Amino acid sequence: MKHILHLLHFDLLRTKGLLSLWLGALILPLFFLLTREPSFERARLVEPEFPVGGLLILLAAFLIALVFHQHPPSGNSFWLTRPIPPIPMLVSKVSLLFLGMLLPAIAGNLIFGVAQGFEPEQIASNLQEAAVVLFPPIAAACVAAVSTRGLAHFLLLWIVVDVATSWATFPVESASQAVGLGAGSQESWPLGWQQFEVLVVLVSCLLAIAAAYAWRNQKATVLVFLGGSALLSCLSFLPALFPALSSNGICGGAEISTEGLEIFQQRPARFAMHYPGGGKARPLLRSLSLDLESKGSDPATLFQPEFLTAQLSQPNGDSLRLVGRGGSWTGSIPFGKALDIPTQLNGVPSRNLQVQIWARQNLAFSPAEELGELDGSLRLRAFRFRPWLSLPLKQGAQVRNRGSALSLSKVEFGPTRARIRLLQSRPVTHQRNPNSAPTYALVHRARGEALLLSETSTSSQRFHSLKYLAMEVERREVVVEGTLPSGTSIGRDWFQQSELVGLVPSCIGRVEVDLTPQEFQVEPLEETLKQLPVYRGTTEKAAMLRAQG
Amino acid sequence: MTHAIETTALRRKFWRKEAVKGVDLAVPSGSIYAFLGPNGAGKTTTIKMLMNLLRPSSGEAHILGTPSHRLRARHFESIGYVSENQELPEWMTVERFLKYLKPFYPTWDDDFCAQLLDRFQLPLDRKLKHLSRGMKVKASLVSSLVYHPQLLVLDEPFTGLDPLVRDQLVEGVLELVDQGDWTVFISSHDLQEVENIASHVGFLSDGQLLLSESQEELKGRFQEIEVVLEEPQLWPVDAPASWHRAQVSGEDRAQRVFRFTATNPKELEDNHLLRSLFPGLVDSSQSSMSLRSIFVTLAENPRIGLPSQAPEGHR
Repeated sequence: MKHILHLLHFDLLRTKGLLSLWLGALILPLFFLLTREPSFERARLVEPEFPVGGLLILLAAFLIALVFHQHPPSGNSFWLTRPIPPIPMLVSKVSLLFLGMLLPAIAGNLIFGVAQGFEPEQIASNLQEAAVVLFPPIAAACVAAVSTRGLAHFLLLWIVVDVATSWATFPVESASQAVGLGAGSQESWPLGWQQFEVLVVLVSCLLAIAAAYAWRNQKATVLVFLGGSALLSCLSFLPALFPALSSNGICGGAEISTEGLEIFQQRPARFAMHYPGGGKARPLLRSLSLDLESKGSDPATLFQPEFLTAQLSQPNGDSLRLVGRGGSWTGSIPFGKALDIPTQLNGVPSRNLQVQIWARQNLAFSPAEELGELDGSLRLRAFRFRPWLSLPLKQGAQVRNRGSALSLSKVEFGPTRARIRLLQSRPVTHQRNPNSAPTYALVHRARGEALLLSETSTSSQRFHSLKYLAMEVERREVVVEGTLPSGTSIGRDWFQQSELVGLVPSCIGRVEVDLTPQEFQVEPLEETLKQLPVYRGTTEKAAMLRAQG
Repeated sequence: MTHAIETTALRRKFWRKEAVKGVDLAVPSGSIYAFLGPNGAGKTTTIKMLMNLLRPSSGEAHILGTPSHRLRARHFESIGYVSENQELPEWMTVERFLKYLKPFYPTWDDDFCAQLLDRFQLPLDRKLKHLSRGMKVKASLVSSLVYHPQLLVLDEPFTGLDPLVRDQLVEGVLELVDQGDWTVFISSHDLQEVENIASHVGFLSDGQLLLSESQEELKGRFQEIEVVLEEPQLWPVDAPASWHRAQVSGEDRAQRVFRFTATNPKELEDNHLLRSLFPGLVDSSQSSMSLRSIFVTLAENPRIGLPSQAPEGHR
């Protein structure tokens, strides 16, 4: 330890100039971002991504080169014939890079996220995203620096290794997808595929530079790195081969709350199975629907009948991921392109089939007749929506809340339709992870009514970008629209007295139910639908239900 | 006598080029061993293998009893290495460089360090990159002496240094050796300086060790002979193979005076051989050669130095 600190002290002395530049390049844009008033128009004029991100990544590369080049693991460097152990030498260098380079970047991201009011979940996901972007080139730079002596050679090798790294995992990834394991494994791997790749690259990098210092062999470093990357990529097969390793969620930063679980306990998931016909034929699952009980008219528990993800998997690793979008209030996802199940399920044995469904609300799942007997367990994950902003419905109104600055630029009301144009800045991870994409509703609190709005168009403009640091924030122009069911009218007053509420879904719990045919009640779909919570004016289906009721 | 350095059939290939061809070296402990050879002979490659900076293609080397490929950081607590090609941390000042190294040496001697700094007049506050080459060698030498290593390996330390600095270094090394049982292994072109300090000499040529013995034995073996003849005559065709005569232009012509090198003193114990080869011999004298002369002779005729070479007698 004494030696590590001693070496670290001298490495710090050597790199203090570049480290100061790095910190400066880190702090200045952060300061700029924190003090700047968000403006969509201004954002169009400023595109700071390359100057900031490019400068940071270049500084990082030079810093890494400087750190490793002063004590290369082989050659004729003075320290190789001194009683300086290689392990403390390596540890001091890795510590310097972590403490001097990565830690400030992480801290900067945290400060930025906290100052902007981001939720921990958002900050964590942004950090993950930044790691995906930042770590591979840093790892490649470390390997290149260890393997070279001069700056020119370093830069050349850095580019080569960086490109090669991105290709190193490609064959394995392709192979896994070719044999039908890839998709399942990517989604079910606890860290997520991208994070897993970053982990692979980082581990390979550490192995490679440790090998270089241990064996004093620069030439083998790149080979160890690339070989290690490819080899570790093979681990991506594990989740598919051993389903027990799989996580059950695709929602990053899942939050399991007692409250959420209670929802299920009070009223367990309800399934409706529809059979193609009577007779003695073994029942085949034709459709499956699920509804969740909401809590009164609190907007926090509004459901969005928009998205469903299900995964059919079997113990032998066969899996099929189904994604449905759209849907309606009836609780059944219409068959569409995304649910082309009959084709994809052909030849898949159905015994011990495991169904996993993730959905937001009023889950509707309609496997086809060819699915066969369903014998296994059903795992359900549900999301609770929490309001993240409440914006008075006045044109030009602005609100900064929970990490997003949002302003109303245009509001149009009709007798049956509302169209609202919003300017919004928020972390891009929201749009990448459909499970956490926000939605909106117009809520008339006095009457306990709400109208769900959906995005009809989006144009985005990169607003602040610290892509290579930690944070990427996108400025978006969003148009949300809601239409009343035909034949109904709320009236202009209703709109004017309502407020715009932004809703963020968060995972609230998971339920596992044994799926054996006899445990399911076969009941008409309409019976199920009658028990659904109905909000006035929410969707066409709500109107239909009222009519049926 | 134990050996501080011992190699057995040490070889090193760079692709197809064999730089070191089976060197068997034995450096006695407590000696000052001069490792000589022309440029490209393989001296630096050999030393790098000794210091575990290069892996031998075959053969093995032992440094202070440890196989060279197993030399670890702790072994360098008793080994000092100064090389003209060594990459020093040029951004450091001399003082910082010494401070940097100090914690790694349990036997670091601060008083001795002060003495050496004083002797070599090193500016402590100057960065290594701003030092002249001689100063850098001095700094490197100080940092390699101050912990009293058992073995000091110097790879071409005098190359390019002015005489004053060279003298300082030589004096410094000599003084050190006098102080204790140090082994100094020094490769150098500066034969004059080496001659003053070396107790043993090894000569490497084209990757082969042509001789390795004490300087005393070497000088006793290599004799410069001058014969004066009554009448000019040609160089005898049946002169022993252990004799070497420098020829300026390659042409052989009759001469009255011949100067040549003989490496087998027993042949010259009486004048019988000389008289038989030079019938008109009037006078002959023999004198010991300088290391420089031996070096030149060996460079011209490497085979002459082989100690095992028996006199071939008359041809």
